[in-house]
Amino acid sequence: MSKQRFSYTPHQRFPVGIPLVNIQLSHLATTRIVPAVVDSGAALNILPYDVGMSLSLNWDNQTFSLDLGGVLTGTPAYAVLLQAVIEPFPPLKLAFAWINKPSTEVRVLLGQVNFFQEFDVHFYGHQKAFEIALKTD
Amino acid sequence: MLLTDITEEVKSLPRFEKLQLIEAISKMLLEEENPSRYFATEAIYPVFTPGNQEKAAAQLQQFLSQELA
Repeated sequence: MSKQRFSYTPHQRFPVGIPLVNIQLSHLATTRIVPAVVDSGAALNILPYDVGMSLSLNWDNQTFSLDLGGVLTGTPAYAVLLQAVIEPFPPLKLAFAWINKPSTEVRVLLGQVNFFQEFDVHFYGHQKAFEIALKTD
Repeated sequence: MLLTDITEEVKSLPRFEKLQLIEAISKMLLEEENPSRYFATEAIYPVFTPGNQEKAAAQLQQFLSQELA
């Protein structure tokens, strides 16, 4: 299937809901399914610290540091490459900024590098829905 | 109903009713412009996007290119 429609996820105190998608992330033999915000305003994919730890990533072994700005200025971050699956699409590699902040503060975000380079996304805010499609070259 | 039709009908109203109409329209405009029409007072409006990440995004892009080369 080349296109999949998703509904916004209702939020108890936020009437519109959030464009969340369940994404399966894998590193070596460890796999987790986590909800992620499809965020066209985010310049890059974000992976909170505890989610990375649950994937058996080792913070001390990381070598490719990232310089975050804005509200994340000064937050240590490393680039990590994970195998990702969003059903019903085939697996692909997504690069994340693994940041030293917990998921209670920052959600998993799917941003321009490189989620939006791999998928075309259409938002239908009035219908509280969005569509993800495989990129077309 | 066209505005020209309404205008003709309003012309025939007595002065007091014209003033009542002005008051009703003013009230209508205020209600339409009230923020509570668009935002619920008890709601939370979460903003997740971390802005100003252009430099980190370029670095991550470089990392990705290296890893996939």
